[in-house]
Amino acid sequence: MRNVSIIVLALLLSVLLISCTDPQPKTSLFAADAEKPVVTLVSRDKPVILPNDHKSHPAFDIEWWYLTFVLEDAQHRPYGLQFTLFRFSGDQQYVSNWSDGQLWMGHASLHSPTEHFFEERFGSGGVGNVFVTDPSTDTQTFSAQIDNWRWQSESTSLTPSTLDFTINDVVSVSLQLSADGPVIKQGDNGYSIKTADETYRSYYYSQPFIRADGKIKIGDNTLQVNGNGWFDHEWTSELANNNALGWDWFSLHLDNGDKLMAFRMHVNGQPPYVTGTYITATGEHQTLTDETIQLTPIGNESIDEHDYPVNWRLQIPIKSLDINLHPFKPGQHNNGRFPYYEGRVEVAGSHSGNGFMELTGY
Amino acid sequence: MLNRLLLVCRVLLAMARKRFWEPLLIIVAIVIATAGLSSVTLINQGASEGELASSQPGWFAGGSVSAKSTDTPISKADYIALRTAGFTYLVAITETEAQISCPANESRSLPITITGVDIMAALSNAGAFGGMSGMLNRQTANKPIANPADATLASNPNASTQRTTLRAAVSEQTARYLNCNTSLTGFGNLLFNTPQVITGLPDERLVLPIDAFYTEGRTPENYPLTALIVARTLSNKEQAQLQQALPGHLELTIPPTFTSKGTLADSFQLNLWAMGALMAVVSIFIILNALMLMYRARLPAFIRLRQAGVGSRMLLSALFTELTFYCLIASPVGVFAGAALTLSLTPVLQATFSGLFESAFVAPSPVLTQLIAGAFVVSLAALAMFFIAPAKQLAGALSRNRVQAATLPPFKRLLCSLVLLMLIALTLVFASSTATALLSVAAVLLCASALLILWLAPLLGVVRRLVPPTRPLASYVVASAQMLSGKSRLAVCAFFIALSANIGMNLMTDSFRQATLDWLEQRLTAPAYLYSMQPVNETSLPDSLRLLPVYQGVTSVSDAGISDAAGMSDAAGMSDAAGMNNSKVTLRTYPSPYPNQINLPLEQETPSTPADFYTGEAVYVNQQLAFRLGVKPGDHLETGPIFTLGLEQQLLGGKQSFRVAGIYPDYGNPEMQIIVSESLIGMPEARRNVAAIYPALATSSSLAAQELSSLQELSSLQEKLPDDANLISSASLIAVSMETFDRTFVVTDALNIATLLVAGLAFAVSVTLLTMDLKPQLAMLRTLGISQRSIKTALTAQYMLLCAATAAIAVPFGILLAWIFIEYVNRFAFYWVYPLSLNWIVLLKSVAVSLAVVLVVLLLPLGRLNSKIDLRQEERL
Repeated sequence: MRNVSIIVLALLLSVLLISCTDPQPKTSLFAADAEKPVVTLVSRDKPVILPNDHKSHPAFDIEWWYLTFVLEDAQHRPYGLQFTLFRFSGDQQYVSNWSDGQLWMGHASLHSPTEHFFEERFGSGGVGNVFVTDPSTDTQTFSAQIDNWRWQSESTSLTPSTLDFTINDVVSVSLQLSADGPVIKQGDNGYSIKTADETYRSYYYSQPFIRADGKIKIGDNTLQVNGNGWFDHEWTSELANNNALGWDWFSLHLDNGDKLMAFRMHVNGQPPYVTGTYITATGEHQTLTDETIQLTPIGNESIDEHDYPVNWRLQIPIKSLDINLHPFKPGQHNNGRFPYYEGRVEVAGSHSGNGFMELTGY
Repeated sequence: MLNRLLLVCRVLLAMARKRFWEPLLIIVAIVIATAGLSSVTLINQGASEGELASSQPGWFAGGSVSAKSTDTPISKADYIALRTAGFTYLVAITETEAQISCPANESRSLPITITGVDIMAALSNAGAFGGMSGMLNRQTANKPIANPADATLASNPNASTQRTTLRAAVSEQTARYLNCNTSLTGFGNLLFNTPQVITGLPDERLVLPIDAFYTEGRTPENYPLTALIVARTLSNKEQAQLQQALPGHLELTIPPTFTSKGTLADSFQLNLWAMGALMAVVSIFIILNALMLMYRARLPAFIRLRQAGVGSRMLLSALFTELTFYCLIASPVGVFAGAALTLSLTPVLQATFSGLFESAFVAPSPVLTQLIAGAFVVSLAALAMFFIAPAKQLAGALSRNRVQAATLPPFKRLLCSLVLLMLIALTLVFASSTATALLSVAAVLLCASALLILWLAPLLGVVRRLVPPTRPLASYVVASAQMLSGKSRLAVCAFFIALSANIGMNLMTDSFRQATLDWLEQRLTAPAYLYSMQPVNETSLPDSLRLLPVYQGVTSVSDAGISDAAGMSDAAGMSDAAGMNNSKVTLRTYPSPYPNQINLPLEQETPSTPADFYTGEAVYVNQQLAFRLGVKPGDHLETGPIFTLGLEQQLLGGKQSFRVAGIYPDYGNPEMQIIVSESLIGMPEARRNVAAIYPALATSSSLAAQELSSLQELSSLQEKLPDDANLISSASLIAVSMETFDRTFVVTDALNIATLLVAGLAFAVSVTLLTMDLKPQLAMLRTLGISQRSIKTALTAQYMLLCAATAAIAVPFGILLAWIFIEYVNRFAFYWVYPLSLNWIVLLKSVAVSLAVVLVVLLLPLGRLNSKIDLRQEERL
């Protein structure tokens, strides 16, 4: 779940681009979009088809390609890395000979044990510097790019591929990506529900088995890194709704090779709804519902006047899983135009491992 | 213990009720001081925020990439290639000219440059484009897409003939030029909402997203990109990398990075603080005086309290608590008054800042709780400090009788006076900056106050000796005034300070006004000037008139680039700021049709022929440049490359060297300026939207001004000119300039008058209170058969005599202050000076107004006093 994305994109959609840095109560993120017409809806009858659906879906309001990595350097120091492309419909009411009306945003973030680097970029679709290719028609290869931030595959598949980007001209990242497991279509063949009544839903698939090897250069210091990566691609129009307040998202790499995605949706006037997917090391996966997974906040951290629940207890009785999640360091906060929490977590309890956590709407 | 405290408090309350004038005076003084503090804080806050908003770097400050030739313009592919190569600080813009109309005023069609900006790229770059995010607001169309089936509407240009409404942005100046509160039309079928004003946008442009620009048949092919703006300052390494990456048909232009040293708004703030400090000093004198009077009047009651067993410490604590209470009452009132004053002055300040300082004034949003808390703390701290002296005196008086100090013998008085005058001279000798100049102003005021204390009583003594003994009432009046002068010296000092400052400010303003008027009359040599958004073609003028455009550019200059006639570097010392590097200097041409005449009002000049100027060898520099860089006539001045005002284009590359032919005053201009020959920068890109209009046949500027027939022709010419062109005669320009000038001094005038009013009030009240002590003597006079009218006249004469004597001493010090304001404060704060003109009318008016203020505020207590005297006399009789 690229929660951030929704928030950010929806907020972009709203006229608020100018000033959204004030601490806000948990109110609707999409208030300004109350009258925005839904262009295309997510339908169970039209499942996700790969590799074609790696492409961009401009008929839907919002979409994101989200890569997170839990890495280690040669000295086993932990790092959290994020690379994201967001797209949203710009609601452009004229035909432009410059762009196609789609608005794009890129986020790049690196957490070392002691430092945080973050950069965001914006671009217009159809110009040529921001795009995600359509593997079936464009170039027969998958590629996602904003300016000189580039994720380039060798084929129509997501991997093997290379990921190259910089952060504020201080950090440069160059990773080789491969996968040792299959792409997972979340929910029902990619049709992923966020609430029990399915009002809030999206198309959503993940590649949780990414292996990353490469270099990260921070200033003049070059580090050889490797670790696990997780890719999400999600698109929807239904989440651009007044009552969608935010969400908590987790992608976990357990030490036994299993993977776990957990998602808790906050809808105005309703109790939080939890969904998830348990993926074994061999790629078998099981969708979890509110009845089979419990996600409970157990500790908060205040960052820049935002009170984030950063410590969690996650229970899946049918998998005999009872774990605690805690950030690998304090202050994992992307302070862009729309601040949100995005950072690496460590897993302890019945299982061990690590992963990523995203908290939005706080 | 508690009982005793209660007793003290009740006694204090009773005494405050009985003699409410003294507490009231303290409260009023605190109100005035806190009001002044609040308004100065708020005005400075508005100025700072405005300065911050205005100080955003211009779009082209970081440089730009442009095409070497119009045959091979910048393509979209060039832009994409550079961005994907990592040059993400580049922001594409494209421009075209259009005639914009305001439907509310169909007859008005204005030429303007339409600028499309890649807003999304700009968003990624703060700096020059910091204010652009608001431009991303969703555009609205008359007919929105209603459902998914209509989603194809936007991709079909023929599907709708509805006009698309766009949000555009303009600079503040352009918004004033457009002067349209409805939508704008004229750029194809697009309709612009009332443009959003964004600080930092270049002038004369209507800015819209580049996506919207490229609509209705406009494409990057037929309307190529005009520039790729470098959105931040690049290091040398980054410049080299970009240069290397540019395709052959593109070039990078990097303008100089200007360092700035202070601004006019800074000086304005400093002066405002000085004015606030003056008010504070006057308030302190008033409070001190009121405390002295109050405690003196209460002394008998305090002695009884001490006899009743109330400790000295408890008594002083109770008195300080009383002061704290007054502070609590007065601070919020003062803050409210200050905030109200500031808000009411905001429109004037905004007009002044934009018109005169070329800066913005942001209407302050007062946080009242914060202001009140601050005002309370500051005023209480000041009170606590100034409570010490009266409290010490009181504590002493409680335990022993005060022996009247003998007056100083004449020799000692003379010696003290000499020391004080030397102190003043010393502060002036060492004044070398705005702050030290203001310190010398403070020294003058304080030393003069001390001189006043030394000399007022002897001066009145002289007057007393001049009164014949045959006039007993007159003798009494003068003698009584002399006695009062000693007891009310603090109030007299407050009045004196306010009066001296008032005289000094008025003289300075009047001198400045006169100098500005003379300067304008000399500087505006053409009979009329033409202002327009676009250059006006000379062919649209009748043959009897000549149009001479004004050209402007900008360059950088360093103090290292100054050398004297012998070629020696002058960097060592004459300038105000040794080590000034890359200071911004504007260049301007002198539009005159008479090559042999230069009518600049020069302060200093060297023997030089106008030919030197017209060939570009010699230039004239303004006072601001001369003072800042220590330039003298005859020196050589080296500048950097010359750019257009907005830094879009380089006019002349490489270093330029000029001989300084003269220095001219340039009042009201915050910047350093050089007047250069048209042969140097007379290029179309440098042409400004102003041109001088001369009669074609006149052979000299003096004759030109007399060509009344041509001026008559001018009035009919206006109708033939484009809508955006305004023809303004020099006389009108001077009138408008002087109106702006007068508006500028509204704030300082208001503060000045307020200070004077309060000081006058305090003075009158103090004297009146002291007069109450004279009740027995007045009663005696009444019993001797002096009429009530005579006593009233005598009392008034007594007060006015004291005022007149104070004013007599204040006049020379007021003149001295005016001179210091001009030669020191202006010199260091604004970098210009002008002659001090001693206008006796202004002097007399200042004194008369001050005396009138005192007379008016005296009327109330005077009437009250008289009735009491009568009643008491009747009782005794």
